[in-house]
Amino acid sequence: MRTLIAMLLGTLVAIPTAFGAAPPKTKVSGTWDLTLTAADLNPANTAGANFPSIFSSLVSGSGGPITVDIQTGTPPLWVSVSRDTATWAPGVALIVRIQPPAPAWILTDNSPVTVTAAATDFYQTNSTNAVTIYYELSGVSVENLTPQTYTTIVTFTAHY
Amino acid sequence: MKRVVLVLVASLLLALGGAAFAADNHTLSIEVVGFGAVNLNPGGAVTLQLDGTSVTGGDNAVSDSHNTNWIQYTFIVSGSTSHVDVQLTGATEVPAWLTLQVTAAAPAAGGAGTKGSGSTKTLTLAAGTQQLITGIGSCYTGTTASTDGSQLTYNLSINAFGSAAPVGPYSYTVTYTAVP
Repeated sequence: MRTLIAMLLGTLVAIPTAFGAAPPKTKVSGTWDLTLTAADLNPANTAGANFPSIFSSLVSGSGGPITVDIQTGTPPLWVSVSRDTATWAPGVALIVRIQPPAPAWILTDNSPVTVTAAATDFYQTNSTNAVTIYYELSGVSVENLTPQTYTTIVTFTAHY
Repeated sequence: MKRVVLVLVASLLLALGGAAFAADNHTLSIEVVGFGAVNLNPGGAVTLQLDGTSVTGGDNAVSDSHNTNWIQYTFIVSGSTSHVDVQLTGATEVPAWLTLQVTAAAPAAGGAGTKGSGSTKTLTLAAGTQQLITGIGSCYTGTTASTDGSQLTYNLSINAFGSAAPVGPYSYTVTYTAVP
């Protein structure tokens, strides 16, 4: 039994070592609130038109664009992105991207990534430097929408 | 000793579970504001004139019409009870022996959504605001001239020849309003 305990203790020591000094952590800064107004719908102010793609230039509210900061972890690290399963605007794809050109320490930039409930690897980085990201919407079509606010929680996860 | 082993195993699982703290999140919201917008394409002045042109002697069908305007619209609304209204304004009422009508045709195939149904309305000052296109939900008609939206046809005719007399010209403003 002493041997077994010794093995388990050894395992407890070995696991953090295998994962690095500490598990990686991310920090997200900034909010993203977008109000789709008639002006957003029709830049040319032409009734009868459908949505154009709504890009981050239309971001309103405070804090945008968003910063993802890897606070701990030993590079290289992946950052994945996912969202909760809250009801979302029908037919509307939420897309996240690193505005090109990506910083030199980005090893792999999978932009643009469509954010879904399933975690998707967004980028791989060789640094813990913060990365500025942007959201955009696509697939917006007025016939699918009703006046309301759609809210979702977007999660960024650093992992090896 | 078994208890010690169990405690150690539980500790091991918690250590592995610690990786969940690698994540952070934030809230993302979009607010869709309800609205309606209409546009006349190509717009511009419309002239209807009863001048006897193309009238055969003895004919009772003295009328004039105009149908080159299309009304195009975009709505984001709840349900399908929105409408486009029409109103005639001017200084002098339309003579009773004249009938001025506007017809909104069934919306064309362009665009998408619940584009509603057109109708015919008799335009007078007294009629005030009238619902011309009804049953509109979230939709857009498209913006292409002469093919997208609802074609508007104005028609001016004599309904009581015995009262007819040379009059006018009268000038009116026809206003279309999106009512979300």
